[in-house]
Amino acid sequence: MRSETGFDPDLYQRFPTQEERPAEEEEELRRIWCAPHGWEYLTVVNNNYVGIFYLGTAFLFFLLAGVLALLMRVQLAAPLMEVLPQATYNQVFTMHGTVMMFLFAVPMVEAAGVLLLPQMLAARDLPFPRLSAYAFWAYAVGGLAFFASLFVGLAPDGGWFMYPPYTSKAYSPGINADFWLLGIGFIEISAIAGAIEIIVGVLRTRAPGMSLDKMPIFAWAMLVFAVMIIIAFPSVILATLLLEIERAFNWPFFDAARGGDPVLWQHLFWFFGHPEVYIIFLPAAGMMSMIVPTVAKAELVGYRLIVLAMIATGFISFGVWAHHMFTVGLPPMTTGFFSAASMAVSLPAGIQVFSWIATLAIGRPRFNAPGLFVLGSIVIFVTGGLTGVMVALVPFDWQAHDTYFIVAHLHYVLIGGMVFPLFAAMYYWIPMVSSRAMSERLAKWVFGLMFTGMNVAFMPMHLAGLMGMPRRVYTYLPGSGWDMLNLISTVGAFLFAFGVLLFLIDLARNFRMAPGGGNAGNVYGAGSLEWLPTELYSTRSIPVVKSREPLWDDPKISDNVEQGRYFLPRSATGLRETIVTSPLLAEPQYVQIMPGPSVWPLVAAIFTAFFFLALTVQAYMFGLASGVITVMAMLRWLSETDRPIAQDEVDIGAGIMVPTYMTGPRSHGWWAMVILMIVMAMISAMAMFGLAFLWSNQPTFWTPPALLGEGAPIALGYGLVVAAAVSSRWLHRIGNNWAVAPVLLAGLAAPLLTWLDIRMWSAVLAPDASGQGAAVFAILSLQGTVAAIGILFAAYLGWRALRGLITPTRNSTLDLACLFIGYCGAQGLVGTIFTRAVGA
Amino acid sequence: MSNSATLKAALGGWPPAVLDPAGPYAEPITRLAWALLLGGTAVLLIVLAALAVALWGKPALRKRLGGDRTIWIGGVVFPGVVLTALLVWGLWLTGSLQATAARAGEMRVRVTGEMWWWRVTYLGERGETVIRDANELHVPVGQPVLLELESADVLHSFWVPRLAGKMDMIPGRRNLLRIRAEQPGTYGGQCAEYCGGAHALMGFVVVAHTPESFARWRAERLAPPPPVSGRGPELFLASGCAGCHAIRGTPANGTAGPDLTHVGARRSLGAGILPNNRGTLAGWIADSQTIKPGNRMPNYKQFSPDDLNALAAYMESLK
Amino acid sequence: MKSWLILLGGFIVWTVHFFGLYLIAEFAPSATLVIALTILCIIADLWLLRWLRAMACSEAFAQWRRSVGMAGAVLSLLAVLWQGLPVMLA
Repeated sequence: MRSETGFDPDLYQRFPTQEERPAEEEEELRRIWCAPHGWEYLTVVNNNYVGIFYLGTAFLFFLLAGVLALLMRVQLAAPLMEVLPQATYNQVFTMHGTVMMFLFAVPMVEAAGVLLLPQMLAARDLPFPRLSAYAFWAYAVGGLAFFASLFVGLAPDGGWFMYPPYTSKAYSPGINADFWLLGIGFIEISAIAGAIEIIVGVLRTRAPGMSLDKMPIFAWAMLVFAVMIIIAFPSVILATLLLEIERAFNWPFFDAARGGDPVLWQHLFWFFGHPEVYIIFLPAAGMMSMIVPTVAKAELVGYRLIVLAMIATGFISFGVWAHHMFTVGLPPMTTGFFSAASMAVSLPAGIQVFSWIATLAIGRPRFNAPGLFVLGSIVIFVTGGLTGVMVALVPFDWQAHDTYFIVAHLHYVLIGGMVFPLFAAMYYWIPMVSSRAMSERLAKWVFGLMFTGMNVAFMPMHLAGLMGMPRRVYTYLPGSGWDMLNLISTVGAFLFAFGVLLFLIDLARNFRMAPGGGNAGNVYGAGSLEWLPTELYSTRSIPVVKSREPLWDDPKISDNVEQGRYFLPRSATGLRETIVTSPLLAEPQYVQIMPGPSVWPLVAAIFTAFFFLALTVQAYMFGLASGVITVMAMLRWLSETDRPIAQDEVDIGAGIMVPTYMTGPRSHGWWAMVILMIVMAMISAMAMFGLAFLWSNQPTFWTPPALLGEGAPIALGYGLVVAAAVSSRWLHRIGNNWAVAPVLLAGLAAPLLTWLDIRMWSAVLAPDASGQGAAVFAILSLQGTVAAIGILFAAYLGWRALRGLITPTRNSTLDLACLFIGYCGAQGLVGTIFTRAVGA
Repeated sequence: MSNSATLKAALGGWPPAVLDPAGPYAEPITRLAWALLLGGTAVLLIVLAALAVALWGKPALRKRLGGDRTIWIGGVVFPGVVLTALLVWGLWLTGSLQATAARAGEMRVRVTGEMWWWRVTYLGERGETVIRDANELHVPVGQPVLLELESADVLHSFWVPRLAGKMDMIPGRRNLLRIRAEQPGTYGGQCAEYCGGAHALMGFVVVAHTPESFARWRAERLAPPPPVSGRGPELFLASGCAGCHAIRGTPANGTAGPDLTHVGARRSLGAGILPNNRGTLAGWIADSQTIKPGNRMPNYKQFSPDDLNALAAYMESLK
Repeated sequence: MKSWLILLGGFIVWTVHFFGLYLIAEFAPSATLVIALTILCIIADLWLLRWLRAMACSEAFAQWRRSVGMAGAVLSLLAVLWQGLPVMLA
């Protein structure tokens, strides 16, 4: 296919341009993309800064959770130690897992995406800079508040997976569990915001000419990662919502005595939980695929096989969740194909490992810092992958499940598959953001200690598990024979920690933040675009990409880019800009005007955090106030979007003209809203799954649902809402300014339909009386929430229309409102019918 | 830790329990385990060898390794073949070990997980309760025994590795597990699903008897209990112990806690964590919270040493 | 659109197969249904392979896209076969 959008690829021949660029261009870029000073660090939105803040915070959580692990290892070094009493240990192990998985692993790789992706794709920033700022601050404030619960003895103690009934109100009466549910629940919002950005960024803001088959593997990894987050996180968001509602309002989703089912939680949690570990692994594998070619000084062997492997992992990892539930008593047909899928998911990982080995084989690998960690990663990860295949077999899992064999397995895959690549990545990319590189000499010690320590700590655990040591035990008894193994593990843990300490010392001595310009340079001789000379505005000009390793294949590219001989050597509108390109072949489509520093994301983030914390400690007035302030801050932030620009079209280089504004399905805002709709649809789908599951597993508690016939008018109403949204958009486009009205009215009407539905159901079921009631009212509550946001949307739309900010050519806000309110109607329609159909 | 109580593990020791099967519901798993461990080690060595060649091998060898073919063979073909074989083995084994419903005349025992002990109820032909016990399971050798696993509160998991894989205990569900011990002896187990609090101290013992020994045990359990009198029994009834505990043949019939009719004969106390003697019995009664923090039995520190001794002696006598 | 269908075709077949199996096992367990679904998905994967092999691709991107699509169909075929095994063996 020669062209995707009608753009003539021959136009690329005009680059690099030859004429001298005026000096003011670069100065203007510097002025527009200025550095923050003092308080401005709090309002910065440039990914160069936000990315570093994000990475630093995530690494801090790694250290904090690591200290918790050391405490656990001291307690377990000998039988019946009294370093951590029982209740404290149970909180510590829960926090270790929770912080590592939710506050370190996912944010760390997301942060790497925020920092690296725009540079790798030669974009000036991510498509929604204020959204990433919001995501970061919400995560930082919320995460630290959550961690602080340990210091006041209020940390959750239900394990990182928080299984009911232990975490239900009856057995966990304190607010510890609520800290987890509300604290982690809202950090998941952060992850989703980041995922939306990454999908739109990878698919729509690549340098012109960077077709999908030339995209850096890290970008592929982040694309799959982000899509997986969109599909997987809603499941755990719903689960945490349901458990919190059960605790607060006594709706018995998981209470078997009233027709709920504890196994429902397990399905919802692990549908998220298993993809979660691949969400963590894939970006790290993507980093490996960037670092290995540089270390080997050879182009990556099997590029398309690795892309395939990533996509395969993304899909198949959604089919293995019940391998965490092999001992729950599922029927053999079910365990059988989960076992098969769990086998299948190991193949893509093997493909990537052999790609790395093949690449090392054809190159001249050097044992520099990244090189050592890459090798260590391969060895450790393969070991973990092999024990993973072992436990994919049901009978073996029946012995190994919930023992230290699994603890060994999971740490081998996570430390080998994520932590070691992370350290390789830190040595590798720190020179891009620091004026000094790290110490190669010290790195060898760091590696030696971490590699040895890791194996000494975790290898014995395989044996301990086979000797009968279960997980999550605060102590063990003399005579078990587990003493020596545990002591060895403790020694290993401290060796590992000492390695990390050396790394911290090196970091303190050498890391000097240089977010734009003045960095240590392309120390390892890599070929990808993030090593072009950059300042705070990223590259001076955005190059045309012709191959996978542009810096290797075109030695003059850095100089040409710096001299402004490619796209956008200046700011065409006097504002921050980047080029939006087409998803397959990266043909330029329009220029996106991007925001500068803003205080509103910070305000919204802080008050979002306060809102959730207030609910946890049951300070409802304060929570309400925080919620209101959050909404106001978000509206204020939104009101700055979708503003008219003086020029309709600009020259982005060599006479190529593109629009400065886009509405409809090609706009990045549209894409973001569609992704958000997918998230909401997944939450809704999971809630519906919950209802169907309870019907199928607890039939004795079932009562006949409300009648389908009686629900028809409500369903029809929702259908009209969808019709109104569609018609508004179409009518407005053909020139009818009043056409804002149908969708506005629909947005105000939708909550009424939900209220009618609730009234109808209240005559049949009570939400706190049965699992069925709880599940139906959960679906209705979700609908009500979406509808309530719809009202806000409608009001905001009305305000903008009155201010004359919506015209047939500038109607992005109307587009997004129609999408959202239309979705609200569609979700309501499906929900109204589904709740009445199940068990009818 | 506490004074005269020295805790002792029910589960553990050498050789590793998972690799030392004692019955037909564990033995095939052990064979699979060995195949996996040895096979896994072999594959790891192959991958390490490939890595070594890639780094340090002769140029001709390295060149051969550096192509798409390596990826297809190493990542798809080889695992495809090996994993197909393993999967077939695993699926077949799962089917053969899966516990089917009770067969005619089969011994049935209901084990209910509680926080943090095991309620054991031997059932008769029609599912009626025949014998009540706790923390211990007595079975005849060479005979399959069907366990009905339930939970009274949160999730637990029943695991005696030398006899079978584990199976979870979930409120609202009944899971089935079949075990069979081939040799007389004691087999240890431990709760394998985090249940909060003292999950780490929730052990279990399975005792396999020869046919004669089992017949004797059963007769002892079914025989009417002898009448009792003395300071111990008086204190038991007067101090509220009967609120939670039952002793057949006395007015004590509380069901919240373990049945104590034959507590003196148990292999361990506190759910598989303490040896069973007068000293540990006394220690448990007086201060179980220090031994097993958070357990549902409060401390009884109010007894004088003589009274405590009498109570412990009474418990010891209940064989 | 077509590009994404080519790139993801094999995995879409896998998704239909896997979630189909799950729904069958959860709500209407039946060996016949499982075998029928498995055979359908195998045919879909084979058809995909044939379609892609016959596709004329002149540029680098189109060739790359086809080659990823075909490899995906192969992996999907293996996974579908494995997932059907439990029922086909029983």
